[in-house]
Amino acid sequence: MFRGLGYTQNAFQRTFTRGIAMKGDVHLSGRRVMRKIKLGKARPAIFHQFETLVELSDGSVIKRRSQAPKDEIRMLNDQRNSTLWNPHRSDLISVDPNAAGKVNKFKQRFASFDEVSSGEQDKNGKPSINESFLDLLGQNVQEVAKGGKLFDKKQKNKKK
Amino acid sequence: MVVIKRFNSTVSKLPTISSTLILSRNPIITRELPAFEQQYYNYQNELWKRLMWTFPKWYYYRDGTLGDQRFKELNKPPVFNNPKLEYTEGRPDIKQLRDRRFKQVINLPKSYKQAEDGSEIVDEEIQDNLSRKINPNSRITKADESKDLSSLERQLSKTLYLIINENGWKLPTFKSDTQTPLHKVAEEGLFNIGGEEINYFNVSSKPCHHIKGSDQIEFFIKSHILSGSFKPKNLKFLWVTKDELSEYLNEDYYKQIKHLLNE
Repeated sequence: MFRGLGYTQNAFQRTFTRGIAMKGDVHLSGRRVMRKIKLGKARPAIFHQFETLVELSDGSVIKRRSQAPKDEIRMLNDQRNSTLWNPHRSDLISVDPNAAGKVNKFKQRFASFDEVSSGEQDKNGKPSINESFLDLLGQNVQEVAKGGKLFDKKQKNKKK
Repeated sequence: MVVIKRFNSTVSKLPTISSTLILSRNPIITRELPAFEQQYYNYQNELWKRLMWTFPKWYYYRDGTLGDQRFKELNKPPVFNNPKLEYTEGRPDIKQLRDRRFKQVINLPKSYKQAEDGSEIVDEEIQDNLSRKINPNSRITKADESKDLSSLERQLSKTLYLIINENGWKLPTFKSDTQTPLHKVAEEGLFNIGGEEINYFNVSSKPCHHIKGSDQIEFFIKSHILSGSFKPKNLKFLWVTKDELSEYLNEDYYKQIKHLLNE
């Protein structure tokens, strides 16, 4: 009897250990076990939304729903005063909103250097393909020499 | 049975082709709702508000910030559920500072000074335009009041169509040489009579309809005016709705193109 009980306990332990997740596995709490949602018990996922009045730059007002806690939004730049959407309006001046920023000030001051410092160039005056790819990687990148032997950890271990 | 239609060789004259432009201004605002629809949408809106989750105040207003303080002044916490008390109007069901028996009503801090009833107090000393209250514009414009039919800013909730007066009111029609495509003919014609300050969207290069006469075929090209305005020299023109169009156009002609037009 006792032996039998011990056996069953063992079996229980075995099944339990089998249930233990592998390293790196995700554990969900027991409460989140998928249950069948009964009829009429389902609730739609509706975030709290506010009714927001949006005033566009030409004075027209739109009512919309928004999750952000603002019931009135006033736009300074939008499609109504953008030169892109109003090509025939002469009274619009496309104002760069970041004109006062640091980067723009820098550009205004040092824009002339940009033309001079264009690097390696093709015969046609366009930058070579290699140059343009290196630009993507960032600054101070050195090209990997072709055909050279790269450091290999495995080989080093084998020699030992 | 195959029916072969033979053209009569005696008719040597080809029909003249013309391209008619249906230039429309789409509605800017939604239509007026009938009372029943209004009630329906109000009901759905209230249902929606009741089903909405609790506003995540902790996300938008950090504890201890000024915004949090202003929010707390406007939104007092609900009645605490004291287990030792009996509540005559039902026991409050409180989670995250919200009584879950009801919809959550949140008062947001405003950018302008408010009176107690919620209306704006206009401070004339401070002319800060950016923080004034936003008031929706009237649905009836000045052009509606003065009955100016040539204005683009009339009947905002309806589609407007351009008609011009050349020996009677009609849609702008342009004769086509057989070389240029129909929509190009319509475009050039429109720019010729109305100036080039029109930003328009052509629905298709193919005509949406045609009317066959005895010696002419009239094709219809649909397009929408997006911005700009129609400014002709010495030409009367009107922007009219579909209902008004029936008064200006010939009755048979209107019947033939009625299905192309929107309310």
